[in-house]
Amino acid sequence: MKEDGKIAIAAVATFFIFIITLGMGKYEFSPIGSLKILIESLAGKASNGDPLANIVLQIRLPRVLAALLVGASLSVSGAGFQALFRNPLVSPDILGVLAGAGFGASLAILLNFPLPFVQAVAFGIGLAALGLSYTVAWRGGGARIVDLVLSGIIIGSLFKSLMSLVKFLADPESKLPQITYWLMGGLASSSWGDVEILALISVPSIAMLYLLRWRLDAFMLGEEEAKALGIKVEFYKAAVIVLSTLPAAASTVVAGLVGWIGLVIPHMARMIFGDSNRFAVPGSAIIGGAFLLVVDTISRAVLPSELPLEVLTSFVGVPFFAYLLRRRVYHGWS
Amino acid sequence: MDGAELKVEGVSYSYGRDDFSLKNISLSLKGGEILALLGPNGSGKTTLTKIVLGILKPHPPSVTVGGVNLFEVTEKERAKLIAWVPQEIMKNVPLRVEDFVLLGRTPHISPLSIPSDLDRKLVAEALRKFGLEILAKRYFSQLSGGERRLASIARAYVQGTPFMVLDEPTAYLDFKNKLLALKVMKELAQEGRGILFTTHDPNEAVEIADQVVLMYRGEILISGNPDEVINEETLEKVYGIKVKIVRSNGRAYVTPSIGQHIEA
Repeated sequence: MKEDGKIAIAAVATFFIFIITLGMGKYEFSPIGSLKILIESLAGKASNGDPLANIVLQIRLPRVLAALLVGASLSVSGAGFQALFRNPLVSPDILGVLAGAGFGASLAILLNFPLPFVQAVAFGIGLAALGLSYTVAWRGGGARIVDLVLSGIIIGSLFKSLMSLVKFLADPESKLPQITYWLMGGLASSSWGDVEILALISVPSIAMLYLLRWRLDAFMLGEEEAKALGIKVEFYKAAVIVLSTLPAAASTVVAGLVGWIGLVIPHMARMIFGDSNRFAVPGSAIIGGAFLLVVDTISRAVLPSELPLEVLTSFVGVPFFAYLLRRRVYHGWS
Repeated sequence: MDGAELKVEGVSYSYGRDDFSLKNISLSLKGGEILALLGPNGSGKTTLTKIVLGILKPHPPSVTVGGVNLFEVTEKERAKLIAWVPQEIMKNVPLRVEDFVLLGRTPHISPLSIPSDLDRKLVAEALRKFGLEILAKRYFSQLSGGERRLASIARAYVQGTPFMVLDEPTAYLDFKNKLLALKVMKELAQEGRGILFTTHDPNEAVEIADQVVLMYRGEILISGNPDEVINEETLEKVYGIKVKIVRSNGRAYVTPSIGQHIEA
């Protein structure tokens, strides 16, 4: 099928981007050189003595993988929420999860917690924000989409206010810049631990959303029609919300607030691959991963000093999106 | 499919606390039959269709298909017994027509899988049957009102249910498409499916229905075959206007008389 072919091509292209960007940086490798180091490491022939190989394996590889996974996570999360809410303007922060995670991280930094705890608190409060949004919207055995949107906005603004309060209380010399930099997002400090977080939380959620792609299409008809088609609406709604939230929360924990990707990349994927979630979900994962990888590589290897992801994603993303928007007639959401 | 019977027995439904939207409704429909639900705006037709579909739960919850109570089976089992063509067809569905129709196969597809070749074959056949082949790759939002209605009927058709509920299938359609929708319902009944449709136009009921249920303020005023139900007296009562029934070639045609209102 045509769309499947496009997705396969995009996946192969993303693999090449992965190999090329792995070789980019202060110590340059040819793509073949990077591939060789990767293969040797996978084969167990870890080149202990080779410092350059160690740079690739211990510093650059986790960052490159984190960029791929964070990009894929936020994009699939956005695609899931947009399909469920039948709204093209929805992004992963719709239920206040990112604001909750941002507040959690700010608070933990203010209280001088070590990094793993900052991440755990951010993740926990992000999920708590989701729980609160759901609780506020819950009535008579279900949560209507319109109520969820409203409660999400309310809970999101509550956590944004709390985040401001933490910033206000933070020492402007030391803590405030730390919090601000964390929130602006970045992958500079990515470690294998971050990759593990993403691999354990994001990858299974994305895989489940991919398996549920057909149910997501039915949700685009509206809840009553989905129900008449035999779908347990409340169950799958909750499942899609949780599965879309987990990758976004994990991404925030690893890379800060880079929500823009989750709003725009699903649209790029729909324009390129088609609107059915059979294509939009895997397409978002691939385009999102490749996009953030390119952006992060520009930040890390091309620019004289690193820029926050929040800034760079829109610098790179806006022209690309504008180009797609002008070139293609977009029929999907009218 | 033949032999099954859709039965609604003495159900009531209320949106608010005291105010009853539907009171003591009973009807039955066999495979191969067409039942027209006729009545003015707000008489409870759409509410009744949602009850028949199992979307709204009435009291007592007594809607059965072939003896199976729709409120005692899973959503999926229910969706294999009865299909829906809603009144408000959402335009803003970002899917191609073939993918839209394919969604009708949802109750036959297990939760984590995607449509099989058989599902695709059934959809291709349905697209041919309803003359939608050339529109298969178009976006649903690009279709005209009549085409959207047909695509929705095709989606309900591929669900493969013994009964279909069509809520105002002729609304917003032009003269030709109205006839087309009526013709399609007749064909579906000839294939052995039981068809329940709602309409504002008594002539549509006369044209294709085997039985007519005339609703008025949440209750059934009268039901029976079209000749019994559709006459000056009943129509004037529910619509509050003077109507004239003209007979030609043994068929009744209902026309409203403009300017002659009756105080309801």
